[in-house]
Amino acid sequence: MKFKNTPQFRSWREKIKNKFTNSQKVRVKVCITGCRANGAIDVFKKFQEEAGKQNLTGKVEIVPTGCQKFCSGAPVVTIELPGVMYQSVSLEDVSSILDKTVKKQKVIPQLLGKQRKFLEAQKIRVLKNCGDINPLNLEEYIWKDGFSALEEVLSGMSPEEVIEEVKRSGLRGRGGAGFPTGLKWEITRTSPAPERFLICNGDEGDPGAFMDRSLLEGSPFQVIEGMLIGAYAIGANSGYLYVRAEYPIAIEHLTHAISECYSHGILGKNILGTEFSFDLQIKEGAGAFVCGEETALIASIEGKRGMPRPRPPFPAESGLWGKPTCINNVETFANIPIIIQEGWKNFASVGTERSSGTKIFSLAGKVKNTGLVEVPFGTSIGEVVFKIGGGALPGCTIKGVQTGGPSGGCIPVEKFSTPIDYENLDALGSIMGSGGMIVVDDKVCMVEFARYFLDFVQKESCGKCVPCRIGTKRMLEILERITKGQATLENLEKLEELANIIKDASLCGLGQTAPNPVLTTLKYFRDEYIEHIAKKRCSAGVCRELVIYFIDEEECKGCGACKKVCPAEAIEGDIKKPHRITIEKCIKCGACYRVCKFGAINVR
Amino acid sequence: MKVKIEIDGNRILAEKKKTILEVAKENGIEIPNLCYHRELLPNGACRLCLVEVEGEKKLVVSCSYPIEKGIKVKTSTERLTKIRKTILELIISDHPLDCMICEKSGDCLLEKYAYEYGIKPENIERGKRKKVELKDGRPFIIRDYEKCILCGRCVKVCEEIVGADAIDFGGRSFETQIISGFDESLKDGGCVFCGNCIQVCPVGALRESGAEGRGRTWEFKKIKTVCPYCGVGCGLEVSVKDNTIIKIKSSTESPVNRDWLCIKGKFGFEYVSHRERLTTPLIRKSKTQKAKFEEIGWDEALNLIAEKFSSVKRKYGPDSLAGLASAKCTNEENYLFQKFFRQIIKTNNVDHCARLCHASTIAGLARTIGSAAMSNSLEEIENVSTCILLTGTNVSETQPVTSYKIRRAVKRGAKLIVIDPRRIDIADIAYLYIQPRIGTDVMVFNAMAKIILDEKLYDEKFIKERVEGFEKYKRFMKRFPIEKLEEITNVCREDLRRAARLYATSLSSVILWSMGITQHTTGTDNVMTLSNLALLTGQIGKPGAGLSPLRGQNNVQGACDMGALVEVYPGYQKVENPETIKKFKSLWKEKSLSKRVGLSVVEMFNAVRDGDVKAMYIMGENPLLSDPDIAHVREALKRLDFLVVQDIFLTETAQYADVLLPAATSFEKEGTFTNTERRVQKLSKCIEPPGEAKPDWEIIKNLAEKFGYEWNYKNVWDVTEEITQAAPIYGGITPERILEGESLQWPCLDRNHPGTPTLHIGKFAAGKGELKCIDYKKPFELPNEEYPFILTTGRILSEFHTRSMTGRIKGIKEISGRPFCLMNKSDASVLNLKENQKVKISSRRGEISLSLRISDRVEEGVVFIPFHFEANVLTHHELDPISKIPEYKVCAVRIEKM
Repeated sequence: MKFKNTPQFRSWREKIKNKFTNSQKVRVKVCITGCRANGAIDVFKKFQEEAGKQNLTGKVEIVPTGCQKFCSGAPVVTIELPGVMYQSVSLEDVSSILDKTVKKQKVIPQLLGKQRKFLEAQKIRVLKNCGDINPLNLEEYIWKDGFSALEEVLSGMSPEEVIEEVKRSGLRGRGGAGFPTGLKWEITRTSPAPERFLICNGDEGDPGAFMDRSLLEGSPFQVIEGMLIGAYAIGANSGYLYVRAEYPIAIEHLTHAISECYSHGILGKNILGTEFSFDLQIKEGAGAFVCGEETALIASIEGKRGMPRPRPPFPAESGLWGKPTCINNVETFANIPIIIQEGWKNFASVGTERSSGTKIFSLAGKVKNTGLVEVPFGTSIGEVVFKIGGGALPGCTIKGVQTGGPSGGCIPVEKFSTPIDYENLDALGSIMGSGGMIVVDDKVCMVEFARYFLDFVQKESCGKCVPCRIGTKRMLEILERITKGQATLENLEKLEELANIIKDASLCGLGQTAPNPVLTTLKYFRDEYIEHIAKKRCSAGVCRELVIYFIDEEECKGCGACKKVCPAEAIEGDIKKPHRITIEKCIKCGACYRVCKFGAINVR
Repeated sequence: MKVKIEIDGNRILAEKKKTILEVAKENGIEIPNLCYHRELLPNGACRLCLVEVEGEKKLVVSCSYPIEKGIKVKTSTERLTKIRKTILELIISDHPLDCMICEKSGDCLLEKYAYEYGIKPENIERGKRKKVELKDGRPFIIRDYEKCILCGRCVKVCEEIVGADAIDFGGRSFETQIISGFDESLKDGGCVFCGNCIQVCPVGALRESGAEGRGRTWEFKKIKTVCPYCGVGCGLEVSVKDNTIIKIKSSTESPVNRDWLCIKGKFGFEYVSHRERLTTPLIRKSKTQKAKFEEIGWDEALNLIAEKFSSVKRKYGPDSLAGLASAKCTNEENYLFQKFFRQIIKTNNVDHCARLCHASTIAGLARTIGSAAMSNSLEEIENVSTCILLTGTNVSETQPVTSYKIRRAVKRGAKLIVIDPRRIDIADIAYLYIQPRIGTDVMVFNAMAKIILDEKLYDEKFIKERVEGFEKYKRFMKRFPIEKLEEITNVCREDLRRAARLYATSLSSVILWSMGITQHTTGTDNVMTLSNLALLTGQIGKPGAGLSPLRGQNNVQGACDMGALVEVYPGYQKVENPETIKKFKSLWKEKSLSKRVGLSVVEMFNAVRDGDVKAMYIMGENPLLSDPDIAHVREALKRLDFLVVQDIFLTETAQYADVLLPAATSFEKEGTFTNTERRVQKLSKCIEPPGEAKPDWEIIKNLAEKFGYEWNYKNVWDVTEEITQAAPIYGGITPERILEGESLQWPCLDRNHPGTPTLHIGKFAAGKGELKCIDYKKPFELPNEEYPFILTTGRILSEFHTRSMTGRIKGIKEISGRPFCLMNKSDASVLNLKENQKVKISSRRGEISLSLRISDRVEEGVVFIPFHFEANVLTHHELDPISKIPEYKVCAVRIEKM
């Protein structure tokens, strides 16, 4: 039904709340988004099937959800009563979970993970719906007070009041640059024009980043609600949700959510019977990383090649089709309903003075616990890596953490006490970026690490401005020479010089931040560069041209496994006798190293 | 608004909306740049123009950064120099080092900056280079993308200015390059070959294929002159070496086109040095055989002409001779040509092809506002008009540079209304497109006027002060049957209402039209209905508003101004007015001049057929292709006792000449051309004419001498001087001012007059404007069962008129060169016809065969054929009764498979 006014909407909410509160069903929540890669869909189906078999249909609700944050435990299943999260759930586990845990309230200890520490230290606020409700069910969102913020805004707040509230909350853009959201809204609203646009930037392209993806998949209505409030505040009647095509689940969930909103009068003409109208459509990206940059994103929506253009004019003055346009990131919009619901004061009570609220990170790399992490600004890097992440994997030592994705920088472990906020990361030479955190250990060669990220960014350069198009290529060439032991110290100087000029002179954020991995590793791990150049050595044993594989004859049992996998026929030896690697023939692929069960193959 | 800023310590007062780069440039401070172009939106790609602004943490792109009050800019610091050097080194690291053999050397911006910043190639680590093949170069444009620095100027000009969108960036990162379509040939990618991409390319990546290996920039003599093709009158910069034109660029100082040209202006000069140029006078061997000529000396030829013309005149009277002047010749030549006929032959039988294009405009506007020239400047359309009503003019093909201006106007927010039976290109960017049936214009514009009256959108004050006949008009419009609009025109009334409101209520609305309005038996009526709209709404007599017929040929405006028309002397002084005769008797020191209006173009050929005209002198026209009903013209030419043709080629018409005189092209002589916006522009001599060919004015002068008339013109500028006395509107356009480089728009009444960009301010030439009551009439020939289709004709972009010039350009032949017929998809499927199929098209007058193209740009029941080839075999010669213009735009045809 389409709601004709806010009271009607409110009474509907009451009805839904009653329905859920009075429900006797145990909610069994199965993550069907991120865990899908580990077979979660089958697990979900199995639960439905088994519930039928065990005559539990009236007693349990098998709820498909978005990400439940603890990705290293995929597939994860949460049973609300008695309140446990099971990890690595397989098809075989389903029947006993229903039998033991649901029916008899017994915990199955072997399915419990280490998520307690992982989740306890977090401050879950923006992600509260994600993993908790069925993202495809509007009623569940309404039950969790969804659209109550919109309702409040439309029942009497003026656009200026909304902007004031957001300004006071201190919310800063979660896309990376940290521009104050309220101010951006105000500039857009006050730019004179017959029409304005609102865009949600869901082009989350950083490798290893999945915060926005999780929000879009797990709580699409929340993002739409944030957009609706934003649109009302800036005076936009149409908007776009720009989502990368590589996020099919997000697109599926959003498409469904948008159509639900239209059919309930939450999107479209005269929303909830008010004067406010807003049309929202999804625009799929076409695979260009640079389209996360706002002016390139606008060009892409306009049907042009996604290339950034110089600012000013800023989109807030002249954006989509030349009209004032406000672009905010997914996570930013997801924060908006919370500000309205809790009030700016409460919102700002979390975080630091300069950066209020929480920030979601996607923690990945060489730590025990990986997944979504929501913490208040001001939490130290170390807390995230060691407390939440559980520290290094066995046998490894943590060396640093790459924040901000490929255009961020690598922060060494000595700086882990730094409280996380925009300015602090910037001062360390890195960036907040969208919130990726990749933990690096001593098995990682920092030169190769920098080369890898630069290679990514260089390939994603749109090709428009000279420093980014040619400069990053030349940097990459120098890095390649270093990893091959062919570089000189002068090359290193040139690398640093180029990096600084590219940072200074590039057109958009992509180019301006592209040298960050190189500059930070040069700053904090310079000795590794020197080692590659002067000693022609890679102590992490990663740079192929600089390592030699050899067989420790004492350890070798002569099993022949290495000989079998060697693609270059570089290994000789008779069965049960020590084998040998012919260095001239070895292509340093490492296949033998990985296959040897006896630790007989060494790298130097 | 002006604000104070500081650049490099200099205090500067500058316009607020300008960028730092622009302000710096105006104040003599050079900021290096490779991707900036004054006519294009800033791109910010090269990063050379970065500057420091006090208080800004980041460097600022000066080409796009608008100045603000009090900003302090530094354009040259150590930090900036280092960045600029690095950027140049980076570009050069991926650029060939072959400057010594590069065509662009001496004209290359990269070379210039590398020199200025002391870049040493040996210090540059070259690294990987992009690998790209040299792209075709056929036709016209070489794409040597190894040299491309990806500044993006070419992409921007193609999109922003021309609207062809034929090229864009392809690939990404280091492998990025410019591609056409999906990496196809330019032609397949939708290129219109305007060559503006070459004009803006800062390096040697885009070049004219015709100029390869023919010299370096410093070897060329560069001469500024005017384009020989359409009425826009673009300024050209012609590069000449060894008396040969090597290449043409736009003359960036031209107030008309600034940096832009179209395919014809840029590449259409090959005809000048074509081996088929006429180089000596020729005489036809036998009266029965056409096109068999032998060479003859100038003296002999002129004597023969004088003798023949004199004897015809003696025997049959002066009106048995007739002359066709030329819209391709200069003002001075047209002036002398009409003077020759009026003063020496003593007849007013002197006309030219304007009769076939805007005669109805002239007749219509003469009756309503008194002057028929474009009332506005092109610049006003680009920058001032807020509503542009475009009707019956396929401007992007006929006046491409004007279409660029309209495109820019639309970009700045002007509303474009297109009313045209064909869905022409520019309709794609229109705010409103209306597709009426062909030949129903009176109905459409009367209905628009009716809406304006009914909704009281007219300008009462303007009407009261400046218009006559309002009450009568209102009464007339009361009984106008607007309910028949949809039935007759197929136009939705609601659309027309939107158009009427927009036109009437915009700040300044201008109407642009050309042959789609004029070439009808109701041509004059059509024009008068347009004039009614302007008079009702007061959309005339202010900058950006008015009635602006777009002229077709480079000097059709001038040829009309010079009186190469049967009813007027130079400056539109009527033949029938005794004052005119008196004035010219005195100016030319002549005892008698004919007071009888002469025979117009089509009437001349009718008179030849009837035996009333015996001899003709045709200067630079080709009626055998350009006039309606070609068979009829051919018969007439055969019947002539004596025909003189003066041209640069042996045209279809010239084949029937008894004497053929070799003329010089516009690149080979001096004089003036008047463009569509009444701007009188200087033509410069770039090269010598071939063989014994001579400028037309010299030929006419020499011929006059054979009649015993001593016309004492030392040079062409003496003729220009005489024009100032003959035509009051040219009174102040003196040879001195022209030679000093002034670009004046008539009326320019005296030596101190600044010229007139906008006509009808305050007062009409006729005093008051007059509203005309006009009834709708059907076209002359409508389809029936036997001839079920309407044929309409027009121009295409790459060809010009009868192709005597464009037909001799190799590259153009590759692009167009073959006749075709455009038909709607559903008609084609009914007739079971396929794309590129050969079809026979016949009318009551003849038949031609050509290949079919299927396009939804024409509506059902209509076919379109470009007139450049032989379309006029099919057209009829029924005339508009007032202006005598033939109805090229409507005739009935049949289409059959071959």
